[in-house]
Amino acid sequence: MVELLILQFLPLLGALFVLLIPKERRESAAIFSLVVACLEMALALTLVPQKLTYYLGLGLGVTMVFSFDPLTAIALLVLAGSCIFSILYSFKKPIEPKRSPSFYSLILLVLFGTVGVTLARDLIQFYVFWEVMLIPAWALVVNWNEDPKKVRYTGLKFFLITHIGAVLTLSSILWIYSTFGTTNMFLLQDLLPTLPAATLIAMAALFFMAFIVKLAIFPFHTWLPDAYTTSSMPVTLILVSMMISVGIYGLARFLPFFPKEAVAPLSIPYFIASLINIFYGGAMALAEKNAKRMIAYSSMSQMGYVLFGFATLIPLGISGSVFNIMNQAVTKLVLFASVGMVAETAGTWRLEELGGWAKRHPFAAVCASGAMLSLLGTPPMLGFWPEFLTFSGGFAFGNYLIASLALVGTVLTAAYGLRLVRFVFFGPLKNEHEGAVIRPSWNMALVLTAGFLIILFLGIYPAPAFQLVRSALNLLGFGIGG
Amino acid sequence: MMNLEMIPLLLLIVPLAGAALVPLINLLFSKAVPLFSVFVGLVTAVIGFFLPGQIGAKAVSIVWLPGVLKTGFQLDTLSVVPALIATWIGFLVLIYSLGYMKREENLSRYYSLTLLFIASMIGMSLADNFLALFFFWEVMGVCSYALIGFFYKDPKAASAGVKAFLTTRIGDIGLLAAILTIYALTGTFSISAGLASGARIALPLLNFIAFGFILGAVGKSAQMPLHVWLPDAMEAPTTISALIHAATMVNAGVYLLARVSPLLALVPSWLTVIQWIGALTALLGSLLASFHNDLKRILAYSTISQLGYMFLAVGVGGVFASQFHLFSHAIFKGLLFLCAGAVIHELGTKDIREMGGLWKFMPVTGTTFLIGALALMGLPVLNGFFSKDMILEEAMVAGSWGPLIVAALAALLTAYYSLRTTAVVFWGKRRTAVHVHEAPAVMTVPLALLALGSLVSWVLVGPLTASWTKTGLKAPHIAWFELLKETFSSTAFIITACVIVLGFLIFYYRKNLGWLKEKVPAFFKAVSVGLGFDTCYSWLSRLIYSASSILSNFWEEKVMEGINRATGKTSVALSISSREMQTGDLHWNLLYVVIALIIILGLILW
Repeated sequence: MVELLILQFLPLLGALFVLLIPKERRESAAIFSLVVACLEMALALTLVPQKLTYYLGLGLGVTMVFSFDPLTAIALLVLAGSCIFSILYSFKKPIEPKRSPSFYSLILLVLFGTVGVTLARDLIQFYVFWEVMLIPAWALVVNWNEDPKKVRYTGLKFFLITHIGAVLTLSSILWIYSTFGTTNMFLLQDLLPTLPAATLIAMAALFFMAFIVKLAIFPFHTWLPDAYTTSSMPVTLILVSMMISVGIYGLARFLPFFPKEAVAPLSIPYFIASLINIFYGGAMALAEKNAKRMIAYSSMSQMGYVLFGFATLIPLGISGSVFNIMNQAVTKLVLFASVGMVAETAGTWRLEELGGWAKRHPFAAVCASGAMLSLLGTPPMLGFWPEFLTFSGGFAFGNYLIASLALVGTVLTAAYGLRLVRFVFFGPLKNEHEGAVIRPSWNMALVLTAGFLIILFLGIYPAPAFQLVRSALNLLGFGIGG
Repeated sequence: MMNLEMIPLLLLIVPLAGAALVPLINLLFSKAVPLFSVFVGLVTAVIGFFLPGQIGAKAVSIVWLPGVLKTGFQLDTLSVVPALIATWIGFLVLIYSLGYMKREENLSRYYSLTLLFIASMIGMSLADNFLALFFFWEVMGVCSYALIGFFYKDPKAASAGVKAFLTTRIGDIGLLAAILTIYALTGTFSISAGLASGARIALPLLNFIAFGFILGAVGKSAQMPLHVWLPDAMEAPTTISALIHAATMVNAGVYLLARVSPLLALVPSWLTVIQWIGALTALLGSLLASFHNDLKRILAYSTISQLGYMFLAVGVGGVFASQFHLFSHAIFKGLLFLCAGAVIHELGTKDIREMGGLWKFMPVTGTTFLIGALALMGLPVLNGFFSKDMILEEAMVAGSWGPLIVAALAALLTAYYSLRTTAVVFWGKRRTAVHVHEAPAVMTVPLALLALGSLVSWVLVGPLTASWTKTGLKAPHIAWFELLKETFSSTAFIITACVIVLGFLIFYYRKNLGWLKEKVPAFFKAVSVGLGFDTCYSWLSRLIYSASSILSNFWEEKVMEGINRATGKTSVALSISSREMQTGDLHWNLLYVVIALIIILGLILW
């Protein structure tokens, strides 16, 4: 059981020790934090098929509950993987202010918080880790930001809006605690159904608010575009992969936590919210002239599909959203990184100033196209499977209008996705970019190749990943296919 | 001895593996890429020879999505024919590419995508379940998109790829909706099981499903009103136009409708819709082809038009006729495109007004083009004659006179433009001084083979109909000599003969018809802009884009951000104003305490 403790506290120890590294030896700090993230990943991998639980008494009647199961495994692997990706990406990147050991320490703290969120089986503990994750993320956003004029506003907005969601969740947790006198999720699983339905509905709706905000569901989305766009790339990568994964994980964990009759009435409101997100985010992305902001809004639109999958409350639909924990992270990472590589060389993110980069950066063009197709849910890319599962849940739900509307939304996705690739990579190369110097970097090649191969391989043969998703859902009481 | 059950899987995996290996080979030894691809094509083509023997046999299946989907192969005539067309015409196109693409860059991208395309066409047609069908259907779309935009530096090519993807995407969501509805109602993706349970589905839902399938087919097969992507797709290398946009992928829609025809038969009104879509598209395509001057676009419109005939055939219940025409069309249209490629390759232009008199310099290309054109217009005894006649005959038997008349009119125009194109390109005076040679052997051999196919492929009607019963669809078994006899004695033959003669007369006296242009200028103007479909769509897309921009610039930037800032400002203002109350003065503090106590006391007492 000590594995769970190592899993939980390894990033924290890493975050402490990385601070001992002298300030100017930033590549050593990067390598150190990379090793920590890799160890975390390796440990999670060795634990995968198992189901472990560990109680840690802290005195004063406080007991922490850690548990590892397939759903946690999915989230953990994605989190550690995203962390590795982002750290690798940051190597040798000339960002302002300079990367320092504290930069990597903050990244490891984010990992610590998110790992805590996925392992926690006690509501208070869950909330504490949720906050632990939020604070270093905020520190990263405000300290490594490319827009000094707006940084205070962006940081405040990011923190306050996500915090409002978290506080609403806390109020639900306190409500539960005051009702039952415990916050142990295993105990509550049996206790919750004894409550009247109306109370449960209110409790659940409040509880999910932290995740709704984290997924940037309209109208709580305004923190997202600014935070994603103005942050330095490595920070953006952390946000798009780790923050999003944890948001989806939260819904996946707590939707089945509440009794079915409590969440059933939330279905239609969530469907409507998801449709608004799909179309609103899509329209924003389509109108956007800045590539980074465009991908940011695309994320908002995609989260609409994630919420849609959950709203079906049908095993297939939920499996689509759980599958999306993997898909969204890797797709967004590759898309951001490959377009980012071009933007870095060209010195601009503006679509009208880009174009024709397939000639100079053919590899980035292939990766970006692949990730874009995955974003669109087009085979043979990974994104096809979650999207298809989400929609089959939608149709099985029986409301054909809602399901068809969501399908129509994919045309909008295709419109902005194709537009992005078209304007960055195709057409003639701008004259002023003819002489742009491309610095080949092993770390970029490595992360992009790995990400692209994952997207392609799991797109052609999704069985290994889906098997994990399926066992996660079986444990949550949403069995698929006997 | 090889396990025969593996043949369909091998047929799929060999080109797939080839597509994956091409980039690696490109890294190691880039010169070997074309030959390696041709070799993969050859292996695939050889495996293809074993496929007809597997009709009706059991094949392997694979767990694709544990607990949800086990995918296998459906081996009947309906599925094997499109798969083999992709295999063999694909192979010929690969050989032809050795010559045609020689001077281009980025060949690994070209060959890899072409092999991937061949694999996905095979996968699409052999799939035994709707999900796999949709998967490969989409992969074909991706290959098409990427290959249309092959010359990505040209903004026209890049935009054409986007347009093709978006337009077909509209169809694809219909297809996916239909598939998922069937899955939601029956719990299976299996095609045969889904079709069998069609009768148990409530009528409104059945209508919805039929609509979805038709929408998907209309998008992929470039039927009205979603045909607009195909002419623009001609920005692709001509080899790709021949393979994807004439011989194979665009047939997928017709194949789909044929496959789900037992379901469509339950909702006859949708069959009528299909008839009219087909007939009107046939007319539209032939009309636009008659007045265009871009050689590739003429052929593209012609493809649209011929696909319309196949739709008509499915609509009137002649599923075999639709597939028979699909088979003929793949051969002669592939041929026409490859001939056009040879010409364009030599002259460097697509405009037929700059061609002319090429017969003398390119005799093989000219002869084979003529054979293709004659098959296209349906001259006896080429393959297009038999299959088109069969379609008209089916329409007549079904009593669909309206669509039949429209289709006959289209056939007339087809005869006209086939002759016109051949004449303008190959006969008459030379109009450019460019030095012209006959194409190299790697290009002319495929042309000759396809020309031979156009002449004799109809003979295969015997084996095709013999194994047809295994599809579960009706068609009489008919040998080639019976087909010959029946076709010439059919009523439809009179129509065919009349329209060919009329078409020839129009062609012959076309110079004398110049006055028409002055009489109805509006008509010619409308035709020259493709009857305004493109204009409508570009208006629509501009509308969506502008609406998004307004939403973004006003609502998101002003209103949503305004709310954020206003919330902040209100909080600050509130705190400033309420700060006044915190005087720190003992007197005031005591006053508040006393007031509060009184209120609490009052509440308790009350």
